[in-house]
Amino acid sequence: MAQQANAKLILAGKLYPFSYHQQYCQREVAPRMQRANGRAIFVESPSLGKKVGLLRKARALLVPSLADETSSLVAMEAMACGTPVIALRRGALPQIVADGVTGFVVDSPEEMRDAISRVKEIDPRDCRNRAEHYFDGSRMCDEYEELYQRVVIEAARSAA
Amino acid sequence: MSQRLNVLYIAYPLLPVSRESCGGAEQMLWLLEREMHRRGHRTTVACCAGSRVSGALALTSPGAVESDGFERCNAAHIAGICELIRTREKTGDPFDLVHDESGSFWMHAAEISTPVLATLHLPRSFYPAQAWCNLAPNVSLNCVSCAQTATFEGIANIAQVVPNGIDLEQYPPRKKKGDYVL
Repeated sequence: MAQQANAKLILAGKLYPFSYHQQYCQREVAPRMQRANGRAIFVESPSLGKKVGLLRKARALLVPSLADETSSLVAMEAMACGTPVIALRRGALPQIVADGVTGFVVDSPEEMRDAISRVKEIDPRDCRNRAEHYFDGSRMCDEYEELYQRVVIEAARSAA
Repeated sequence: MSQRLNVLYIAYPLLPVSRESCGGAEQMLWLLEREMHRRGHRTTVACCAGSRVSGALALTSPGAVESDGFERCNAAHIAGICELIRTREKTGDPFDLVHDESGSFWMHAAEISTPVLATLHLPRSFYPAQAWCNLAPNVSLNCVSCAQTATFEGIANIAQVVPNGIDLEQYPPRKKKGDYVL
């Protein structure tokens, strides 16, 4: 997709010593990286600083996940960096990415390829604004703190 | 003024919890535990070797070498956690709440009396179907998005949705972009 859209691809992540991780990488990822002829590179186990740097400078973050993602921290992180997100329409991803505002929600690899060439339409400030409005960790902690109190109080009532 | 709580966090047994964690559940646990500790709650994290947290560490697993060892590792993790909880009760320093981020401890909650809040990080289909039958009365569940909650229709113990969040200061915006997609 990235190659067809004339963009370099950086694949970043941690490859765990689990047999199914290793086998999947060898079977599915390594051959594709070889075919990319240097247009794709793999950054293994990036440090937090490296990850943030990659997210901040990326033209876009691609989330081609086939699973029904319940959330996507990396999509939130990219938007906080002002980086548009192009994601497949799976699980919670359409709720996280504002289609046409902070990136694109697509239904196929072909649409994802086409969306890469459209990311200049996205204003990085809109990405950051959405992150500040919806994905602030302090808000999450406030909600958990309230929930903790409620669960503990209800448990005490039940025990009484 | 909310009550200061003594909270035990439970991590997935194979992956360390730290600022550098890659997994979403580990990142969320790290951020939440740091903030709760900062707000004055007492926090303990049951996790594997290599973890670094703000409160106390309870190392209950050696960590991952191979996923094939998950069952053995998780059994030891759960046994260690139950023992820790009972020891604290006996010594008069009980946990007020267990926040389970491990994905599976809550299925063993009947072994303890402490209230357990379990955050469901995975799609419903990733959990065993029998997990929802006869949920222990001390278990409350929460989802991390509305889309996920919609798939858990019919599960009575879902307390509420708490959408995930990130440490925004760690991800400052940048207007000038490079020539690659990530």
